[in-house]
Amino acid sequence: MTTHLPGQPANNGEAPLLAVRDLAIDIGDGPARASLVRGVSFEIGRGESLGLVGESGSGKSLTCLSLGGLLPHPVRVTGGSIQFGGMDLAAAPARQLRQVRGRRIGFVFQDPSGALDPLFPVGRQLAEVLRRHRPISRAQAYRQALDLMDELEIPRARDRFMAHPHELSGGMKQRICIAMALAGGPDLLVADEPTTALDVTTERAILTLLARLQADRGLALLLVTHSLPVAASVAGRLCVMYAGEVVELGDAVTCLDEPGHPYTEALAASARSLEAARPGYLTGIPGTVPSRIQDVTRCLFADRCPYATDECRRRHPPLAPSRGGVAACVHIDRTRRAVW
Amino acid sequence: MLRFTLRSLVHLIVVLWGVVTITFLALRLSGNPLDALLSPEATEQQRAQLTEQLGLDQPIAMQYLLFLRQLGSGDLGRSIITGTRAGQLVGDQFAHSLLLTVLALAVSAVVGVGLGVLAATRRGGLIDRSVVALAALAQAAPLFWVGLILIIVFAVHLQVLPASGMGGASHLVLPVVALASGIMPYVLRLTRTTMLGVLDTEFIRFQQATGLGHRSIIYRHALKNCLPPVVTLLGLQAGPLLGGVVVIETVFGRSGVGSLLIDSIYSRDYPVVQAAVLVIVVAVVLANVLADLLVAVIDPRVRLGRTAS
Repeated sequence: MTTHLPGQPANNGEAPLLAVRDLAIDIGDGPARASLVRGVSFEIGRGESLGLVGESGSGKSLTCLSLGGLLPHPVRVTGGSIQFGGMDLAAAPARQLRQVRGRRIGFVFQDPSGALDPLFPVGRQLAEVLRRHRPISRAQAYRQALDLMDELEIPRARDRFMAHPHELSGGMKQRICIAMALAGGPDLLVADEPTTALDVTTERAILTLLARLQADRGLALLLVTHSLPVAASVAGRLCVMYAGEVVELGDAVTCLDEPGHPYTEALAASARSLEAARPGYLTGIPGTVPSRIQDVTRCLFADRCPYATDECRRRHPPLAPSRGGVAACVHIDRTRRAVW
Repeated sequence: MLRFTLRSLVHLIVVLWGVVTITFLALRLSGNPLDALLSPEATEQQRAQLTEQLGLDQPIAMQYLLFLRQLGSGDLGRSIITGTRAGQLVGDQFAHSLLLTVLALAVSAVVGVGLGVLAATRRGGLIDRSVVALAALAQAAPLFWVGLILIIVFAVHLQVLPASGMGGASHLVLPVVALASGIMPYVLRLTRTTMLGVLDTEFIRFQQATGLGHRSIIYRHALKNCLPPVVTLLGLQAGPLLGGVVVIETVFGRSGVGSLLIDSIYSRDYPVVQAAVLVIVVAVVLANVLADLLVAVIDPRVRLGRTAS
């Protein structure tokens, strides 16, 4: 379990905090059954951060939810293992997963406006989670909630304590959510597109905050985002997902500069064109993510890929060493063309 | 909250004024009260005397003002049959009916919400299906029939509870259960549907992810989010419930504003009918205002003035 794979964190002989192996997630049963995630493997070391990148529908959110046994029925884990703290979370009973959620793994979701109970003051919601995880009195919980709100850089925490969610901005609500996710003192924070619903300046502030919390608390961070530069700015390593599979895994900066997979290359190029912001020069990736995967004997990206050859449509490319780590492309040694 | 309460009170006064006016007009439209009050053999002199006594010789606008002034001083006229003050008569009886209504409201709220939550948290299971079937059955059964069945089973066959009449707590059990059976299904179904909706929201998923316990999520957070529509429904059901009181009081031989209303209609005791209708309408309006205030206490977003006109 501790063998070092290319693209995985240097483990120094120590077991990684989280090791996902060959994770498979399906929806439905019988003829209606469809595969959503296949053969996903990655590791996160203690205090390390990994950016999970992909388009909508690539399976990155499902992968996150599976870590806490939070997949909505009828979606479920059908294969592989999730090694965390000596447990296999993929096979753990519900009772054990409840002990892990919040206390060992914290979760933050995309929309902070929907994530808080609209009928309770935010400070009391935070205090309630604190009391769930620690044997403290109500008064102590209130004090610790205020401390946590200070740590999350919420100005005038005392005034905000009794505010209801509708009275706070999206950024403030997301800070409260992060505080609730950290209330149990987890080792790993899973942030599923935490800034997608926020405006750009707030996004920057939240990302900076996450990076600081990670350093201060020695947190491991799994940051899910559809933006390659956002992931690269916070995370040391990247895991790029496409159509329910990992297509590239490795060092963030290298992946951005010398992508091993054409899909990563396309994501990087579209982000660059967005940065240049010249009207009419936005680059997209033609086509859409395949939704119902039936044929996995070919490269799933081949139909959108300018490098695709007959070989890509004949066999499914395995992960092979690339500059940054590993990538699932038979054309890893391709000469880059200005196609995006 | 204070501003919301004040707005509600102004709203209440406007509604009450409307109700009083409609009651006044309806009574004037329902024919000449002299024909009802006096025997066909009454002399012209008797008719003229009563006309003056009732103020019917005044123009309609004057009559209306007079009526309002009487109401303002709490005077609802006197019973034509007994001569007692109508307000007094209705007031005495209303206490009995109010007790019955409030108990039935409480029973249907507790049982309806309880079973609704139970069904929603076990969606599709045996308990869910039985509860929904029970609700459909209770919804389909007419009140008087439920009352009669209860009497046959518990009073006649089992002989554990009295069949009818006034008395201690034991006399209240069957009427309250029968009355509650009329609105409980609505409360149950609304609770179940709302709960299913709430359980599917993002904040429930986030609370699960924070490690909050199942019990706290269901009974503290999800339940509270279910309450606003349920409380509104309970307020709206105050009307049908008071209508049901009329039936139930007749079936169980209880005295109350319902049976008083029925008796007065039979004996054409207009002042008493008018007073009874007025008191019932005021009670229904008050119940709805109370429900609105309660919803505003539960949901702070309501206080922003979305519901106030």
